[in-house]
Amino acid sequence: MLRLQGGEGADWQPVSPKLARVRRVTATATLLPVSLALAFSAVHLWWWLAVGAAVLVLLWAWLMWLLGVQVRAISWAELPEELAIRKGRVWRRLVTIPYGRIQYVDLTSGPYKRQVGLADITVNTASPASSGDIPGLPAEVAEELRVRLAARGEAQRAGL
Amino acid sequence: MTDEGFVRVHPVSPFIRGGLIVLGVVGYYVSQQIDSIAGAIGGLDGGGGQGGGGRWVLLQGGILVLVVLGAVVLGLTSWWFTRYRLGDDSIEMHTGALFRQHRQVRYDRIQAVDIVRPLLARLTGLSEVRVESAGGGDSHLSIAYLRVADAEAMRELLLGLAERVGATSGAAAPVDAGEAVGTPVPASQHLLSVPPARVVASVLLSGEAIVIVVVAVVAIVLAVAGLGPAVGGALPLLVITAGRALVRLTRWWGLTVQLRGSTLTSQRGLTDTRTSSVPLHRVQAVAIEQPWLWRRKGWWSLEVNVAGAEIGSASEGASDSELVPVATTGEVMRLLEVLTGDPVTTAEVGSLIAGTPADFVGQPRRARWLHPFAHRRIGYLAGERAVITRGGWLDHSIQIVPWGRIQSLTLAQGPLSRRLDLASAHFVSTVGPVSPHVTHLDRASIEALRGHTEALASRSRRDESEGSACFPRPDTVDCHR
Repeated sequence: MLRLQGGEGADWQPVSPKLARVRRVTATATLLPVSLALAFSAVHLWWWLAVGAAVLVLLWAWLMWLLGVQVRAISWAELPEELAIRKGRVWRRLVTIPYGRIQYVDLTSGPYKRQVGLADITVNTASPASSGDIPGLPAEVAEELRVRLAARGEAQRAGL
Repeated sequence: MTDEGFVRVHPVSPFIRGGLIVLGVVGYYVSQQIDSIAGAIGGLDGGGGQGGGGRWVLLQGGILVLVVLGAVVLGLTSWWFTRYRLGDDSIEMHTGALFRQHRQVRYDRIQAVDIVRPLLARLTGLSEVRVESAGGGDSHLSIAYLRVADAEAMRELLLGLAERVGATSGAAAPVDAGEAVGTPVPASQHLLSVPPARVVASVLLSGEAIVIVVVAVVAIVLAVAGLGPAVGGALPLLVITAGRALVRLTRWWGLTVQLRGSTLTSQRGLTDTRTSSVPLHRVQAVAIEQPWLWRRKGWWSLEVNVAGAEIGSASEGASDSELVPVATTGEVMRLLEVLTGDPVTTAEVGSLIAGTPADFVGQPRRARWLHPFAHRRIGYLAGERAVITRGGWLDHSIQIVPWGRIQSLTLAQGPLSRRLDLASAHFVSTVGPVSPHVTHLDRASIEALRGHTEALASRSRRDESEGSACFPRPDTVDCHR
């Protein structure tokens, strides 16, 4: 039986740990300039801005830990009839999408992700509410998965 | 571009479309100038004694005539360039004299064919035929206007063509439009008609009516207490609420639902008559709801998710997803049987309405304080052909999704649920008012539900794709046995 947590029930695949690195770098790139600006202002203008800088640093530290946890919590599995995606450790979600319901599969990759060899897969059904995305797969795995999903979707396709 | 086979709509059409404006302008002018026009005519008869005023009025009259003539010419031009044709595999439409537009809808893409009759068209005995195709927003093709009989015939013809092309599963088989005329339209089966008295009663027993009563009572109390001016503050609320009730009343007046072949057609409206049709195989999920004031009467409203229906489109589309505003339990059961094409599911829904059957999976006792009132009602029944979820304390609601129509399934568990070993499930259907879900059930039973979904969904799908056309057809009995 497929569980919300735990390894049993299916061949769960983790996403690439590089995704945590990508997300950490992105978060740092956003937070760093702001906290630097705050620190600079604290030194030269108003000392109490240091509180803001400190909060940002704490937030950054927390994010560095959280992003790792989040990425480790993402896993996916190809079941005989369905694609299963698990996310979250505190707020757990398990999404299953029957292959026959797949309308199309998107493969996206930003410049930085491409550089580290990662790609995201988004599985679209007839409903925009089906949140079937697997972020941060190694590019070749993502490409293989995309082809496989498209083929399976075609084979088991049923009229909408 | 060949003009072969193109037909024009009724010549009066543009004037009906712009008719209200013209009528308004003329009416306004006449009402403003009635005295001076009478005076001018009188003055002319009298031999032009005070000709200055008369000439001025004549000049104004002349301008008015010119404007009207201009409108007529423009209207006729627009009529001349509005042509449609039933082609080999699609219906085509040309509009516009300067900015030409060509729109075509393939027969196998037709979702529904509606007949719309605005008030003015109704007075002149004309109808608009509206062809809905899949796709968001403005994806309809409208033939406005035709004579009522022609419009009806056109609708039958298009539905017949759509069904025939659909039956050959779009194998590029060109359909001869002329031949299709001869195919007999399946006899329509009357399903239900809602008497106007019940629509009125349902509005009276709605939340809006309660608001009106409460506001009125408060207003009277305030007036008695000598705070008359404060009453005015309640007026906007009263107007909005009354307006909503009125809209509901006029929209659903005289609703009749019929089944033709495998298409559900409904006719309704007091001022604007509207005929719309839903192909049964497009119905993805059904929900029935019962506000608490209706419980004694045993009334339900029924909503459906229809695949390919407007995605984030105008309010008109949103109201279309409500199929029946108020029906008795018996009528709802009959409709469900047609919509799901399955007496078993209908019986299961009936058992859920009547009570709590043995195989209903409800919330465990430990979830009680999370839903103190709806605790006993929340849960699901894994039926033979569909999953049925139930919920709601004051307003009862039941959602039905056939296993094979579940787009995806989401299980979720927050920190609190994890401590209590509970979980929730969302059955994702297509865009629409129905979103079946169960919250805070035992984690094991939710996981069992997922296993069920996996096994049954694929089975139903395979049945469907094997060409037996099993689930959606209402006439198929005995499906996967």
